[in-house]
Amino acid sequence: MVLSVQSWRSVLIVVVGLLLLAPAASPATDLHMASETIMRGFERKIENGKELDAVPVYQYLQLDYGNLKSPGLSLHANGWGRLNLGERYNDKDTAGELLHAYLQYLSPGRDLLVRAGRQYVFEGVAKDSIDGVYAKTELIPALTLSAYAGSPVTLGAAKGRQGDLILGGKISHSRPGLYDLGISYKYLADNGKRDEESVGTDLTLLLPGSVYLLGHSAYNLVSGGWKEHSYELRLPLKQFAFHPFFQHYSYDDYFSNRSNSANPFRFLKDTGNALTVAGTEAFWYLSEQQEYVLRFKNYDYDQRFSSSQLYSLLAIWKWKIHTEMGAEFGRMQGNDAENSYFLGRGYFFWNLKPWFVTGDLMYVSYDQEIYNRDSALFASLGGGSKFMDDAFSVKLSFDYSYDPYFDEDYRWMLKLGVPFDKTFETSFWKNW
Amino acid sequence: MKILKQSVLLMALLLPALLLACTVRNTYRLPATHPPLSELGERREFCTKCHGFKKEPFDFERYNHTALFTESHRLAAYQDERVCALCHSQSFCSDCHATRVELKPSVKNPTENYRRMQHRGDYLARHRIEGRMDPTSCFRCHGNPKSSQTCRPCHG
Repeated sequence: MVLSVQSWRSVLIVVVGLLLLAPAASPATDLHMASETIMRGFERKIENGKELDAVPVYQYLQLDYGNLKSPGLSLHANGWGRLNLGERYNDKDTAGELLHAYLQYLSPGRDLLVRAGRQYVFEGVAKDSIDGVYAKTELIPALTLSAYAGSPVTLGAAKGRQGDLILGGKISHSRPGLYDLGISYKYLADNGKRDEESVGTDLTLLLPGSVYLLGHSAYNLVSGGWKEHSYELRLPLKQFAFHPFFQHYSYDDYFSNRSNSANPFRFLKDTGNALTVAGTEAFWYLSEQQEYVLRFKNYDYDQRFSSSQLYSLLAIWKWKIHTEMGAEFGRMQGNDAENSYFLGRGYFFWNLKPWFVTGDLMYVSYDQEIYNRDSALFASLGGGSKFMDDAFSVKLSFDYSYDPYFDEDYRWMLKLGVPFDKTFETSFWKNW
Repeated sequence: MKILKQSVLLMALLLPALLLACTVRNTYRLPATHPPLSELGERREFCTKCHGFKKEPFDFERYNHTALFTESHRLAAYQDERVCALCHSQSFCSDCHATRVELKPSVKNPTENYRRMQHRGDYLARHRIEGRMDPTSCFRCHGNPKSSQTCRPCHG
């Protein structure tokens, strides 16, 4: 597995944190570990027409230790690695990533949260992985303030991480039963140069009749224009619920051709296009066992395309928790045949504790052929069980696909899960 | 220098807030965790089943997990990620919201078909169409140099 210097630094933070954390973890400390080993098998045709047997093996490892169910200190880490056991079908035989590794402190009054290390920050206009510090506090009742600063993980692939910086925060005011309003800010620099700077608002407004308005707007301070307006109503009406929504995106302000962007999105900037998506989701809860969903989306553009529509109908029948079957029918009515298709899907999940069986069937009919094929069929069958009082689980699935990209494609996957949970009633070190 | 000033300003704003927060008490706080829903035996993961409308000093309705919640949860999550964290660890979210994962969520969890995870089936073919219809939905997860590595073999 290939880990960068920054990743090893994060690992070091974890180890040091573990050492610091244990003596303080009293009177009860929880340990949760989860290992997932995934082995896949499939065939791939590479550029010279040669067929390869690919057998990649993935190892995911999650660790959570400390005060996991109560305020206090805790440590959280998660990462994955991949090794090709079969023939090489991609660039490298190994790959890996440290997804997060951070120390967390939650104050006894649950009014202050601090995290340090590699973590994902999800705060208004920020949806970023950082190596840094994040804090969130309720300054006075109903007023929440958060702030973060560090190095953005995404820019590691763009000219190194020297001089890279991300910082920002969010301030929110809440009146339960009336509204939540948040204003967020994000600044991101690549090698000392401003790459992104945005402000945004998040809103929940509770209207009469238990009607909610949810919304998000974001403004690009670099281009000087609104990136996005997304608003949605939640209207409950007895057995029904309606979620009409409106979204508007300005491509010049939403997309970027700077460092923290990538192909194929870079060329969308400066096209002058804008997208408006409007529609509704309608839910009918006929009983505890049955629900039906209708979705309609209309896509409108300032330039390039004329409008398009998406229609979906979904039916779900549930017998008990995690035992259900569903059927879906959809139509993408694009501006021309190239952008139009019908989709049908049926699935079931049958829970027979400790065993389960699943099935999935999907058929897509394209109005215009893609690579000389106008339809796609996907079928999947899976099953699994837990063993030895849930000490480990085994899942196995087989997929078949016949579509514009694959001829008679068969894949299999074996997944072995090993969770481990233990509560130390006294300080960890006193037990040793 | 500008960045340094911004950092100092941010810390100067944050420090009094942290100190003041320590002195404030007697207000509703979200608990650290929620009991696992599977243990509660609920078929439909709706917060309002237990918490109701306006019954609590927190509005939970917006977090009801409808059949389309996987596709449309972002506006609810923007409000306060701490509510998500009551039931979901960051590891759960990382299956999709990570800087770099090779296995798309529907491939990593092929048997959990009831979750309606993105890119099921022949999405490689459909993404040509949906990418033209709404490239913003692709950009949210694949828009930065690390998360776009799955796009690179074809899109450069």
